[in-house]
Amino acid sequence: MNVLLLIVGLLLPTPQNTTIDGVVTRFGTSEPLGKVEIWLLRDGESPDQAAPETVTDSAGRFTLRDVHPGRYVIEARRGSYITNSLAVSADSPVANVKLALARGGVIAGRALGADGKPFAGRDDTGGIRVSVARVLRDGTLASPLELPTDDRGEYRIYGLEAGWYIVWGEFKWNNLYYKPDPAPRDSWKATYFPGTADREKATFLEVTEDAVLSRIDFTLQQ
Amino acid sequence: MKVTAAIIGFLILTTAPSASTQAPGGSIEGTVLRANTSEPLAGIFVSLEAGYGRIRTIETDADGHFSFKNLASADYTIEPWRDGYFAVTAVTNREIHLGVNEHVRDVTGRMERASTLSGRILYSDGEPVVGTEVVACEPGYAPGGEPECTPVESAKTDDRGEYRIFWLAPGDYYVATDYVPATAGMGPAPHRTFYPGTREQSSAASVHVNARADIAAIDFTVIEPPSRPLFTISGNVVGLPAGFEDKPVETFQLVPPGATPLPYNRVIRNAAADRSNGRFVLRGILPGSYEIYPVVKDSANRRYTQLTPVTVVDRSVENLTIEVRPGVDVRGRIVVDEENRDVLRGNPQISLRSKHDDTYWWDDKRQVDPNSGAFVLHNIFPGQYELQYNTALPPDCYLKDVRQGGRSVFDGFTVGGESPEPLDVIIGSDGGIVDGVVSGDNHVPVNGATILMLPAQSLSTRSNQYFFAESGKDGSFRIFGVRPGDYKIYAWIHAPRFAYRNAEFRRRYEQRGTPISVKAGLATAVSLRGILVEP
Repeated sequence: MNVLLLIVGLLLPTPQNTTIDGVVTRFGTSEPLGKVEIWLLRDGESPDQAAPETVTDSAGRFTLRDVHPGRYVIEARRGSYITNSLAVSADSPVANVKLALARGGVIAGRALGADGKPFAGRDDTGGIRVSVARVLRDGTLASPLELPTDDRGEYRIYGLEAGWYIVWGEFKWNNLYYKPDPAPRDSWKATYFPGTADREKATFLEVTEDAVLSRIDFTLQQ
Repeated sequence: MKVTAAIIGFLILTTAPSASTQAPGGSIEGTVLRANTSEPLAGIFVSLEAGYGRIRTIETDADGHFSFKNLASADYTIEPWRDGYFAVTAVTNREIHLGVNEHVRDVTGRMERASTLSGRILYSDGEPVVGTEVVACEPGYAPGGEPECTPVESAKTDDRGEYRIFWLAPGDYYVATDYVPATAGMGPAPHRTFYPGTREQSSAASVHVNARADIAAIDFTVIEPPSRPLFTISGNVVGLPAGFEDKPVETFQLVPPGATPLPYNRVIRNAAADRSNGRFVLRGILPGSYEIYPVVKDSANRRYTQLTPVTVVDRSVENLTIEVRPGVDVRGRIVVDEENRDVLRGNPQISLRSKHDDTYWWDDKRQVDPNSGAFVLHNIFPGQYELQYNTALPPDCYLKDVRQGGRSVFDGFTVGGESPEPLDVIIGSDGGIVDGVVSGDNHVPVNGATILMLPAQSLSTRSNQYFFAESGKDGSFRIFGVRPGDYKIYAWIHAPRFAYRNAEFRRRYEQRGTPISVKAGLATAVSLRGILVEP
């Protein structure tokens, strides 16, 4: 078997595999960042099909060996940090790729129903869900992040890029099979922090790197 | 719907004119209380069900009261429920036969708030583990029979490493999280850490959760997997079907050698930057011996592949050539008695189980000619197979034998690079019957016992030859269409779901099976003493 492989190997062109190494630091500092997942993506490849290659060590360093020559995107990810990436052309060894990650901001609080009670969400039934969306320069909204509240009505959304945000909550039945009749919650409106159904009156929240905006509490209006 | 209503209206008019203007007058009312108290529970959903459907759901009011009015005479079921609550005792009067204009007022549900379990997950250096899923689980078995801690509820950690699992019914739970192996590597099972900080379920501490409890500070540190070198396997796929030479081969299957259970098979993406000419690079491979196969389909949906053994020791494997070939056709016919020829007209399904990796191959299309019983299975790759007959047969019928070239290949046959000699799939019509009853202590019949019948010389459930049943209310069960022969039969009481598919579980009770000889065309009666399964 080995003999056969060797013979075949001689017949085919043998591209020289190469190495990519680098270091990840915390944005704006020289502080190394460990436990950062390093992804090696083909140019234009979606990470959905891929998996991380390695994680950075405590000195923030990573090495990718046996890289087939070509163009790649190196993506660095760590929970609660903002993903960063860099395109590299790996036809020969690529040394000391530098990536910096900024810690995302946090918006946290409690969203209660118009009856003053929490209604925890679950994917199959429904409940109170909270969304946050960044307000773009032209006043439109970036696609929102949405998640259910817990049994106390609490939510916590992390890893937010710096910028201005609005927060809203709404009650949704995800499956009408579970919906009671009459359904008093049908009169609950999508409500923007600090407690208005009018988006124009929503308070803009400024999120900066590493900031935690807690007690962003509100009650759904009806 | 309106038409139906009109017809019903007409019937009522002709039979009972006085009732025609009145809505049905029955009602069902009741209350939901906090268990063991007289405290009413507001906001509990109560569903009225009839037949297989939910008719209406209402909510209990501030007094815990609910009421369904204008009900016609029918059989109803009352189901109180609410996420975050669980029923402590059965609802009194849960099933009601409601007479005409009858009022039932004494339905009582007793519920209690579910509990919460919260804590924090850290790395060994004290930093929080962000976004990891934490499960509260109970010991059990996966559908393939592998022991597992079956998840009951779960939650993800936040940026502080904190999690909060809610809606947990009382019980004893293990708490665990899987270290997400941050590599493309083909690892074995996920790297799981159990509370209070162990890799093994056997040394984990279970957390006792009472009703209406908020259990906090279930904190633990994940055990990080040892850092292991990872390698690549790269090379070229050749022999691609015409018209597909330029299309990249997207994914490869990587199978640990031997009949390793399916969950351990991995699909690995082709990470080559240049994927032309069948070029491939598989990254993140742990040292070990594998069998690797790309799957390519041509425009006629024919599969091309080649199982290729690869061993990774201490360096990457380069320039591996995988020459794929189309699978071959396996032909045969189903042989059945004249009086059971309807079997052929019922679109029977035949599949082949690979003895190599326990996967099944079949065609979705109609395979069997309804007149002659001839069949063709396309796209079968070289390997060892066992034929499985997947369609229910008439009660007396069973898969009697599979023959090839005058000899029995019931236990398996080989497919090579060419179509094998045709198979005769023989359906017998003299299947045996086993009529049994399961009793517990004091000879009380046992409902819901797990019954497994295996060939006397085998403990394997991976074959054509095992039978599974559950006992009914009077402890009875019937297994029919049994291939005549010697068997051992087991009846377990309180066996966890899928436990019988676990080889270790079966071995533990090997000595407690009841031998039974099943004769062609005869019913054999058996009385079994249930085996109580210890937790």
